[in-house]
Amino acid sequence: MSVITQAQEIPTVAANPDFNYEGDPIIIQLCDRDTVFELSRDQLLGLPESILMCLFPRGLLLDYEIQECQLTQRPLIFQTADFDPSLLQYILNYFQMAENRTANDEIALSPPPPSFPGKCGIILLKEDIEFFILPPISPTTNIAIEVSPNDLLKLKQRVAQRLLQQKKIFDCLHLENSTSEGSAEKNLVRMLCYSGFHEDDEWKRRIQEPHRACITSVTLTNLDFSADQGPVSDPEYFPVYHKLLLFWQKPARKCWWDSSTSITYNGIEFATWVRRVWTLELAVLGANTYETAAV
Amino acid sequence: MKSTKTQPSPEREREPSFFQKLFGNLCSCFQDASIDEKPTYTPAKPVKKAPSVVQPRRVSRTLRSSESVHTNHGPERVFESPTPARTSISLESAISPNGTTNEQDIAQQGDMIDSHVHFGEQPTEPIDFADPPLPEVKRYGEGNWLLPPIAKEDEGKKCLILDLDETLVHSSFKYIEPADFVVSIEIDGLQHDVRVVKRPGVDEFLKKMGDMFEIVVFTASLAKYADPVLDMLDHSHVIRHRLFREACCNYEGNFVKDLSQLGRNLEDSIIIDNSPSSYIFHPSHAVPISSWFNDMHDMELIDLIPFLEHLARVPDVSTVLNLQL
Repeated sequence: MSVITQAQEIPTVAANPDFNYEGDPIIIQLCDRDTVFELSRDQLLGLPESILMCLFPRGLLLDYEIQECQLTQRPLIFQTADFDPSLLQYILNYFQMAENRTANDEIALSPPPPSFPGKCGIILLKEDIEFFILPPISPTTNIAIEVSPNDLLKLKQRVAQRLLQQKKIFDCLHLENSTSEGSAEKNLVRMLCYSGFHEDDEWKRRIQEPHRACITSVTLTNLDFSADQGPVSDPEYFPVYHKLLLFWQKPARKCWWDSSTSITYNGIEFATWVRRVWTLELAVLGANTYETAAV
Repeated sequence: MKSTKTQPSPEREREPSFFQKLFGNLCSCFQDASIDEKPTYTPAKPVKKAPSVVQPRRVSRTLRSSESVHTNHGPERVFESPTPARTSISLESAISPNGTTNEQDIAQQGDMIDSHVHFGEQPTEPIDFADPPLPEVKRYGEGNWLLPPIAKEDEGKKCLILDLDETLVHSSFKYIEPADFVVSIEIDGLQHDVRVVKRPGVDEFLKKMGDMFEIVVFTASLAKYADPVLDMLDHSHVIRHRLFREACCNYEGNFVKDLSQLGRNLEDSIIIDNSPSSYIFHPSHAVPISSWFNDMHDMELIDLIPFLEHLARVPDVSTVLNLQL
């Protein structure tokens, strides 16, 4: 799966919050690869924007489709773009459980402060990796050595396996080597750890895209207001969740190129380049999803 | 500037990545930048075969009967897409170096984001090329190539095709943002000031890439905007050729850059573009790059330098860039 770039300013799924329809509740069937997911209109609209972008890169006129299906009495079936079904299942399950807890007013974590625009926040962190293998340069010809396609395939499979086993979310940022306390990476990790993540957290889902030198990982975490280690009683302090609201319906991306590892095959050392894209988004449950976040 | 090679081990190496080193001490970057290392090629290199001749794809110029030729689609038409559809927030926009951000900064950041001119990679409907009419693209040689034969000084070099907007620079009409330079262009009889911001590292990137590649800037923007931008950006004069919207193919409503029409060997052609739809014909010759708007911490162009240095010496770049297993 190619990395989709930025989220749309207009929501990916076009839907009117005041939309009314008569008759039985709408069941939407999403066909993702060979898996069919059934969900309601609200469930679909409640998904994070960055996930909707993966499923519908060209957008979706949902209410138009609903009206068309009701007129023609045909089922509501959408073929999504290529997205791993196990990741989608994990996301749907997580949001369903969070929705159930919100509906039952169960508060597993501390209640949100009055200025938070909903009942519950969910932080989505997603990683998309593409990796490239470069053969060494021959000192005699100053050109990279030739590698047979079969050997190249084995090399990529080995690198994929090694990357799949690196499950710690934050290890790739090499924080222990950062010479600057104020580095962007350290501040990013601090923001996430003040919101519910832990430094030793692992990706909840980490999969290799079939037959591709690509790895996708997803973690969802409830926004934990009590995790903020800043001086929260100081009226000058700007709480971490206020910064996270910047990412409500507006996913942010960051890209790193990492060449810190190599792989040896048949006694030859190959450079391994890893392109890593992180997507960070906040979802808010119990809020009108079309309100502008107050910052 | 070489990437670090380490001994493999069962566990993840802790040595800092190139990016981390560069981020940790930018001064060393500028020191290293002064070391000018040019790749050398053996004179015995065999002559490359000419790429196979393909029929150029012609852009449809049919004017839809329901539209007036005087329809004004607005000044955004000079950019890669007339439909502003995408926005982004850099992860750093919520994080200042001291770890805290006051409310005013957050509000201003949000306001600045909204003031960007945003250019979608994928227009929501096919572009009407009849308004305004595009100039005829120049063609060269028997193959009707988009580029003239390679210059003598660039013989033996691979060809690096660079996108412009959101890859090397970001442009806006808004005064609120600081600009590296301002270009004044006439659109529909009115003068507009376009404020251009350079992606971090673009000057060093172009200088180093110019040493080892034949550089072509290929943009879906109009020349009236892109030419003055490139005049200011390319102060080292490393860009050999410029291609604009008329050189693109219109494929399913997207501007696609067809590398097979360039007149260069495909195995020596590398395109860097923030929009995957631009290289949908040649994904195995593409180096992906994120769209860039305002993140002054962005390191992607700098990070790419050693990767491209290595790639410049791979006989067939698609063996590295192909993601299919």
